[in-house]
Amino acid sequence: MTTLVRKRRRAGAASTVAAFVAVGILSAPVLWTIGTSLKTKVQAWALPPKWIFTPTLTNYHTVLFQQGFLVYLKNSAVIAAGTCVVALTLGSLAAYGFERFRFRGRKGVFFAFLLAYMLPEMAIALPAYLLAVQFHILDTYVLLIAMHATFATAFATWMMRAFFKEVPREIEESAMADGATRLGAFLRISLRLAAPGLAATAVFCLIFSWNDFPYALVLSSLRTETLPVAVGSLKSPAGTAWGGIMAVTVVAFLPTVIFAFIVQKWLVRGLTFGAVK
Amino acid sequence: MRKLGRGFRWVAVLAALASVAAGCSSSKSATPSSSGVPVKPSRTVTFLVSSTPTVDNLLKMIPQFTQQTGIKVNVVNIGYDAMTQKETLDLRSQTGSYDVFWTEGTFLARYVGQLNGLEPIQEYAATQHVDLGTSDFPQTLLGNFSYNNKLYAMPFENTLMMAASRTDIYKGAGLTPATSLADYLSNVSALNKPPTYGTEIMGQQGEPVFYEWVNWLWGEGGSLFDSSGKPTLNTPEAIKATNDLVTLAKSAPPGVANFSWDQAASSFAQGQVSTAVLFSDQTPGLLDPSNSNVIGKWQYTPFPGTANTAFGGYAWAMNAYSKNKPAALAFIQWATSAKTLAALVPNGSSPPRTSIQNDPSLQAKYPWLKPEGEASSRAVVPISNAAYFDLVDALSTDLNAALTGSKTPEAAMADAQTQWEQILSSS
Amino acid sequence: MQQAAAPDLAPRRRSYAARHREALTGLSFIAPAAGFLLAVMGFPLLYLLRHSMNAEDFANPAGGARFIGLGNYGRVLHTPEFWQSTLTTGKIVVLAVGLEFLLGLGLAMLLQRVLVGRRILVAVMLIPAMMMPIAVGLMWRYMLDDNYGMVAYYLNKVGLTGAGGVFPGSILGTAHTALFSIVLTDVWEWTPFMALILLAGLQSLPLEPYEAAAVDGANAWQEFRRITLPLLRSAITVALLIRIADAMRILDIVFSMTNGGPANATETAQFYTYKTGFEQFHTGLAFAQVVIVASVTIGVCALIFRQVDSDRRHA
Repeated sequence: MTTLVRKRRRAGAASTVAAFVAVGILSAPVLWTIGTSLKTKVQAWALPPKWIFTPTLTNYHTVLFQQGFLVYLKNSAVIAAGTCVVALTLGSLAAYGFERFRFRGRKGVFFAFLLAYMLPEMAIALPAYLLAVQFHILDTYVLLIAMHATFATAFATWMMRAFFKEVPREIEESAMADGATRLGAFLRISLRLAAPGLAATAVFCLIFSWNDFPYALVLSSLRTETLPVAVGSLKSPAGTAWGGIMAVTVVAFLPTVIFAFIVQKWLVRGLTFGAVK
Repeated sequence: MRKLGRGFRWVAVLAALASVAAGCSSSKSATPSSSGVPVKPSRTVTFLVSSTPTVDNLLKMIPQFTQQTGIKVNVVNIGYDAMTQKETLDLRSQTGSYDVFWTEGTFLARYVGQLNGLEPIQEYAATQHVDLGTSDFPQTLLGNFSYNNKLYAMPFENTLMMAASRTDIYKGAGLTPATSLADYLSNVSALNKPPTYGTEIMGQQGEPVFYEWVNWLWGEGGSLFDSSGKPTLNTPEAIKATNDLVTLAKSAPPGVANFSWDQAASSFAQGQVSTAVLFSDQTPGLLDPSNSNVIGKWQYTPFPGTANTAFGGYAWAMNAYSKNKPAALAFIQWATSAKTLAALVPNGSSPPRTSIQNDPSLQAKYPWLKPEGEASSRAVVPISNAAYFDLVDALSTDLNAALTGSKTPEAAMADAQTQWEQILSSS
Repeated sequence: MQQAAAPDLAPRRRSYAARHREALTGLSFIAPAAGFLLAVMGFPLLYLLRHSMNAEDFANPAGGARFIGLGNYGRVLHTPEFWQSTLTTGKIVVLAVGLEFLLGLGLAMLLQRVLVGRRILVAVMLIPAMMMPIAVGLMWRYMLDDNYGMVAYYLNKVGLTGAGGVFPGSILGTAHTALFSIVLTDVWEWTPFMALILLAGLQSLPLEPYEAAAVDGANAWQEFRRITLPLLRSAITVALLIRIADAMRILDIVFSMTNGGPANATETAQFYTYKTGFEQFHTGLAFAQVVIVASVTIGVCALIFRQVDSDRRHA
């Protein structure tokens, strides 16, 4: 037995080193991104590639304070947060409905929800644009949140259904025997117990909304322009502003990384609970 | 249980944050002009544009305009393709979200001919008793932005295709910039000494390779269409032009088959090539010390020969569905005024006004002005057809195939010809 | 006897009323989301289906919109470029998702055995998925630039690319290397995502079968082949479902890396639709393409979905 433990240990040490190397290689482009965001244009083009250099914050200063990317950052954040709230609320309710109750056509409806996740956004965006013009809601947060919430709700329903599966029915039933309503049991028991799943789903909804390009391109404008659309303005015919683009990229992934780091414990567990079982 | 409690708290915090944010959003979305109560419609202009160095410099000057006129300018600055899509959507839906926007000669067939979405600017200015100073612009240039003999946009940046050469390298080799296509080809191959290459070309499929190639087509005596409007791509001249590009690529750094505008400009600015055909709106990048290794070591000459060259200039058009036309006109007048355009010259702009381009004192100070002036008279819009995007897509794919060797120039041109005939017969 | 008969009857009667009530309660939970999706997506979907049967150009309202039934569908199916782009998409999906699966599984198994620092590793791993796809494409184009790119520089150093290398042509200017670069970019962005789902799957596996296998003296490969892989099946299916549905819509990376070139070698179905519909604005044709491609995607996903669903029932 001790040899087995020792063998496992040695394997564990080797795996740890290997995992760090593998993740290191994977994240070299990320380091490069961060590095380039701190370089001048001439440094960015230098060969052999410069890994050690005197960093400058000029790119950040330029994009954030001169080119107005703070505003786009705010727009992206508002829309992503709104999307999360709508998608998690509607998605959790629907997922609970699909998971706890049996009725005819259930599977069909559940699959129809997935359609909202699979259809190409560009094709939906065009008619949505025409509709938005009719209703005078073009370039509003509400419109963009609604559009992002379609694929996010579909995804949330799919994820949350699996999480609710892990919540024992007995706890709900005893709560209802104590006089709680269905909705009350759902809110106070099931949703609470599935909170890790909710966190995991929130991360993905956030990422989807944060990175969306087609809807934002067609439906946003002056007041709601998001980061992915605005970043196109840094690609100029006289030379792409690599430093600026990389700075925006870093600014754009930082909030989501921080958020993911915080909820990561539940994220991994969430996935264990959810998608898999 | 405690762990779950903590998890729940995080979710609650997130939800609270989000609902605050959503609250902001709904209060914001209640105020905009789309709700039908614009505060002072004539005092705000929304300007849709895509970044170029000269555009960026113009945007920096906007506070001066606002100070002079009290008109506020909202700028929507996005990527080039995104911009053209937004313009089409806006004109088609007759929304008028953008009062002033970027137009090119090649877009007019769609924007005016099909969508009828641009205000004939000269006529409108006359009704408002505003003088746009059109007499200061060359007639050919105004023609590039006219449709059915009406002017639809005020030229802002010339964007001519200029032959850029490295004065130090040419001098060292005892060569002078070419005045004929044959000279150009022989210069390029003589100067091809990697890591400094003879030239580079914009080879990426789409507009880049099309613009690069069409100068050679005209230079070799060919044309895109015959006098009856039938495509003439399958001609000896067109094949010769395609061959020229293939020859040039042999003296170019690797990867030119995927070079777009930005890489072409960077490549010359980094000092990687001795000669290149550049768009003149890329000049500021050659003058900027943070971007250029060739400051003071380059010059422009007109594209060799006397034939037409492709005009890529852009102009400011007024949306026919704009609700702020007087303010939009004031903005266009200011943005294309002699004073504004002259202020942009030191940073490397290509001013469309004759009075600036031909000003001897400016020409002495800014050496790119004189050759650009010579080149401008033969710069024409390559295609004025609503099927522009289809035509360029089909042709450029075949050109790119010839460049990368997956088709011979003969086969590429024959295929392009067939596709153009199909496109034109179906539209 | 009476007691035995009563439960036989009562549940059935109760179950009828209960089932009715159950359906209503269930539907009332689903109604908000269903209503929302219908309200937002309903019109666009109908519009798309209806206009896919028109001869129309969005940018040419004067040209009108003529109903031509399935005419656009026929035309799309007779366009070689459509088939070529579909084939390219297929290649990318198979290569990218296949590689992501293999690498992701390897990475997940490493991570499972890691002794320290897993939380950091996972957080760092997630970054690629969190970067805007457009920025990812631009960044890789920059890093693969034949002349100045960081990755290209090292690839040239090891003799893989560049003059005299295994692939001497330009990386993004040669058909097969350009296609592979797109695959590589997608793999870079999404392998961690795949690894995370598989890691979650691995962590939920029971220990008993492994202990039994150790007693039987099974080697690592046998252990993996006979225990891990079968038990991981539903995690694998889920991960593949998400990734295949996404990869079939690949657009941003292509757009910013190659613009579909060289000579359409990297033009995907989604890119082709984008070009037809939103550059040239032949909306009738583009909508027909969307319906065709979406049907294929949905078909593939439905197959996988059924697989997942049956796995769940057995689990």
